[in-house]
Amino acid sequence: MRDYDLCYLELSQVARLIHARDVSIEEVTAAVMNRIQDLNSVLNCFVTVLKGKALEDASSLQAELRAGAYRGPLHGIPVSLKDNVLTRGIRTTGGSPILKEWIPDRDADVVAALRSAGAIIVGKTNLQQYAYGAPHPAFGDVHNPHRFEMTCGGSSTGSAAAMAAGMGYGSIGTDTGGSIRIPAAYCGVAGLKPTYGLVSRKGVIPVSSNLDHVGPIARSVRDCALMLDAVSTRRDRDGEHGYARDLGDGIIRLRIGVMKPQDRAPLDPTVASAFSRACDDLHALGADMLEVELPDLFQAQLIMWTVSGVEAAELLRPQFREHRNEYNATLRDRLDRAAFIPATEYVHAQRVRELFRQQLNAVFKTVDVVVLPTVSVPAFKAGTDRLTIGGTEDDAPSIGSRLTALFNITGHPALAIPCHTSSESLPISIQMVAASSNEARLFQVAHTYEQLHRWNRIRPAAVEAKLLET
Amino acid sequence: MTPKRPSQSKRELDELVAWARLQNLGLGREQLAKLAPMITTRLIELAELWALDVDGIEMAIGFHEDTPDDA
Repeated sequence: MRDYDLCYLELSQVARLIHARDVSIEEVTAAVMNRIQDLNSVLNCFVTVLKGKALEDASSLQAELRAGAYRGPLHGIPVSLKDNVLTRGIRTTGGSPILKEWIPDRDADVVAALRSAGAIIVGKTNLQQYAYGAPHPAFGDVHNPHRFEMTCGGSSTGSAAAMAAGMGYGSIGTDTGGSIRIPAAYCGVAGLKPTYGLVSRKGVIPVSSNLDHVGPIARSVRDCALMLDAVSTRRDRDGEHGYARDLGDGIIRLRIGVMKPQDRAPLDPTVASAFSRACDDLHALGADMLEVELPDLFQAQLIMWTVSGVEAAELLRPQFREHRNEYNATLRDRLDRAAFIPATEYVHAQRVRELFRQQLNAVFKTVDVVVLPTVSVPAFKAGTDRLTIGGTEDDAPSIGSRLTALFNITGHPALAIPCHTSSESLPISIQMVAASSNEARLFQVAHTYEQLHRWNRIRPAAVEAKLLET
Repeated sequence: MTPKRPSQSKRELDELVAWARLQNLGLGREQLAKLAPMITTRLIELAELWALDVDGIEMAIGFHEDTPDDA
């Protein structure tokens, strides 16, 4: 198989080839490292590339395999980590110039779990500074693999763009208000924010203790399930590989709740139409579709900004006081503004958060999964400050997390997968949400839908053109 | 719906300056004058949440066992 095709395979496909000895781990790793070398100068996905160590690990994991020891589907699989995830002996910058030379002396729990499953770490991916606000100019924007001038959103931008461009088979991101799902949506890949607490955050640079989540980004639903199997703190029902167990069960008679439109969460017509077609498809696949009322998404986002802002301002204050000028302007504004939120507002936001969690739990007594778009617009030009949707103008970052923040404050698992493309060939994404700790059901519905059109297999045009040049 | 941004009076700005000094935030008067409308906007938005009925609901706060301690 040509390196070109090898790099675009899904994790589960390359795992089968490795297990069957149809391809060696060294070949797979070398192909991925070459892809990173070819594309990183234009995409800016990686802050640190670990070519030497990755090739070394590939050799020893291949030797293990030859000796008959197979660790499971992640054995010999090249993966990446958002650069706010601590790696022993490898610098971890958090996308911040303040930490540009920081070398932690331990791995985050999630890294230890991946290494134990046999994954090969190929590099650390670019992100917004401390995963909160905007990229620092010292690290720069990640460019969208579909069209380089378009945004990847935030904040796990390097991870999502790397997956779209075939630079590895899985990546670990973090999500405080939508930071896994938003870039996954703009880049046309799958991204899961798991149930709150399901994946350990120990050893991940914190933003907001109440809202931070760690989760996988990959090129298919099955790949996200396999990554979650490796990093989850709990084993689902029947032990290993539990999260992928129901993928083939179909969705006949499952009850799917469709978000009732909200005035303050307007949708771009392209997104509205793609979402409506996806709902028709789910119905055609056998699901019962019901309209459901979700808590107010504008208020949910306000709670997300308040809780995350106050917690980030408190967590970062000692460093912020000392290094103010090394914070980018957006992050400075956010932290400054959060310092003036009274404790009464923070506490009240936490109580409303609990109210919303209870309301969403009640929704899941009537349906198995809820669907809504992931973001209300396709990717737009990077650097755009304001956007108009449905006649309403708003800040671009506010539009970005309007449909995702609710599930950070309630802790329910939410998965973004591609569901169409715009007239400009940019990905459009649907978000699926399940009851807490019911990731298996979420994967079941998402996988069934994914099989129908295979939107996840669309190769990004700008990257394709670049690869032709090389 | 975008809340109206009222202009800050001198007294209100003085209060912000005093608060920033007390908190050792390192923010000067000029920076605070720029920040003040954003603070006001957020507080006006937050006022909307007080209309919701949270009677009997405890504050949800989630520092679960693996909260990062030394990252």
